[in-house]
Amino acid sequence: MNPFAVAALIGIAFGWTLERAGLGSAPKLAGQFYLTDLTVFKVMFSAIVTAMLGAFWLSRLGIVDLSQVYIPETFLLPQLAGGLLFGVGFVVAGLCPGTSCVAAATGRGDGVMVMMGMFAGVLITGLAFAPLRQFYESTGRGSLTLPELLRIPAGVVVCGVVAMALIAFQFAERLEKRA
Amino acid sequence: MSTPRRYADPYLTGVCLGLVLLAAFVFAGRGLGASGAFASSAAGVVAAASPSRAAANPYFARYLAGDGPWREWLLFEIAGVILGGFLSALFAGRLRASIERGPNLGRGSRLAYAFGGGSVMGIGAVIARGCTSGLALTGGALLSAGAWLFMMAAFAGAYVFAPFVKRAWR
Amino acid sequence: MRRILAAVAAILGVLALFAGGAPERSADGSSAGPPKPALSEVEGARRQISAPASRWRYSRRAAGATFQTVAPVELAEWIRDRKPNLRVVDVRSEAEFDEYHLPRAERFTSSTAFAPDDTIVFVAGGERSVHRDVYVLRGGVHAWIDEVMNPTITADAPPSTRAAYERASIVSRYFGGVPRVVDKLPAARANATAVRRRGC
Repeated sequence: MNPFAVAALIGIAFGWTLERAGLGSAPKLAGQFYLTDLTVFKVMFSAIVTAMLGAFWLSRLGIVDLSQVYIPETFLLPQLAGGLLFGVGFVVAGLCPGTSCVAAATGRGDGVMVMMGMFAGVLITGLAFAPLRQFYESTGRGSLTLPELLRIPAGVVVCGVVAMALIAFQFAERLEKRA
Repeated sequence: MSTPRRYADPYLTGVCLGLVLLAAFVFAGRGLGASGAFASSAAGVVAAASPSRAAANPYFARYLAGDGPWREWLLFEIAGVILGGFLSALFAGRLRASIERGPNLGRGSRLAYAFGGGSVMGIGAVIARGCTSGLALTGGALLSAGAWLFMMAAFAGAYVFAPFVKRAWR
Repeated sequence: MRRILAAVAAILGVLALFAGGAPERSADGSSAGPPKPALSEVEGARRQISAPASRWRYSRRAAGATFQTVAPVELAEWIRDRKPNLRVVDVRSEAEFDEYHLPRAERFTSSTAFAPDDTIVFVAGGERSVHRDVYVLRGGVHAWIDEVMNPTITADAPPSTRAAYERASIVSRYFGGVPRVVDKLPAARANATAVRRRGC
């Protein structure tokens, strides 16, 4: 099938699922950072665990060739700095790029504004890219994965992530009850 | 699942989201994303305004290669996200023209926070080469070290800054 | 329902512990079981080794060579069957070796890596210690990864190709590789390169 058609179909499922979880609503997302509503964490990590287990087992069974799937590359300093900045922007805006589109699609004016802000931020950073370039390209480590970094088998990492997530979910439930 | 304001179970929706991500791996050979769509369209806009400037810009130039900035996988995906979000809200009775905000923030201020926060996220996403969808979700599932680093940094940044914008949400 | 999801995740996670394969870092050569590079290491190597792995390049290099070559699958069988007195010597740089190397390979330590058009001379003690069975791995590490770790075949392949694929698959699984039937041969990483250029 046409790759763009696949993209659109996957996008529809993505947007639908986000809205179902309520992640198209900024106050709900912001609640994560005041520990009153941990939906963001629950959805995100349930998704990560599911896709991680799926990718691991499908590749083990020879159904998916993970070497043909693009794995986001590691750039230590830029992703650390960019992550911190992103987090700051996230708690101010209450929406991330994907969820801002969902919010906008459901009529939220603040969602539209976040999208416009994102566009402006990307545009300005791109235009002023020259001085950033050296930093941007520093500390690259290629497609480094946690198993390679920690020098332990992928299966051990997978099990560890599942364990951490399940334990964290318990904490999340308790935190929310106290809120 | 159709009463307005009653959202689906977060764990179940999370699993569904994970399956969508997995479907992307299997059928598209890549994961999800969002900030890249913004980058590609920004490149397209710059190119439309000034092709030479766009081509000379080291960040935008790569989006002009290949089939050009508008035939970008993520743009079609984001179009789908918008449609999917709309449909879900439509069937759930959650479509509503509104400006969602904390109880102590005015509409104008909320819009300003939204734009400002969005811009800072845009800067962060460019530098980190991704956002929560592309890095945290996709890279997280694929165990990319940089993605996990980004995820932890983003949560840390948000939690540390949250007290400073408390009046926006509480 | 949440409990069911959690239980499924926990079971799949624990099972993963046993499916991950052993890390291939110890170079003492005295490991009890077969040397299995973890799948993640192979994937990492596949992505990081930058030269494209196209089949026609291998035979071109071997043409007109003055040494014996061994095909990756045959070498894999030698390693698996612990061919007596087998020494596998990797002459690439330390960085490349650390990224990925064949099971039981030893790194040849020299201040400079060997170049393709070097003339290599083995110097032994005298006539009695002359080395006769010297081979070069045809296609190098790329071919190893392509043909041993990730052998592929199309569904409509002729029987002779199928036989070679079967032979490769047996030894592939031994080393933790993933043989696959594909619709068309891996035309590439065109997809991955496009994404790499534009990001997410």
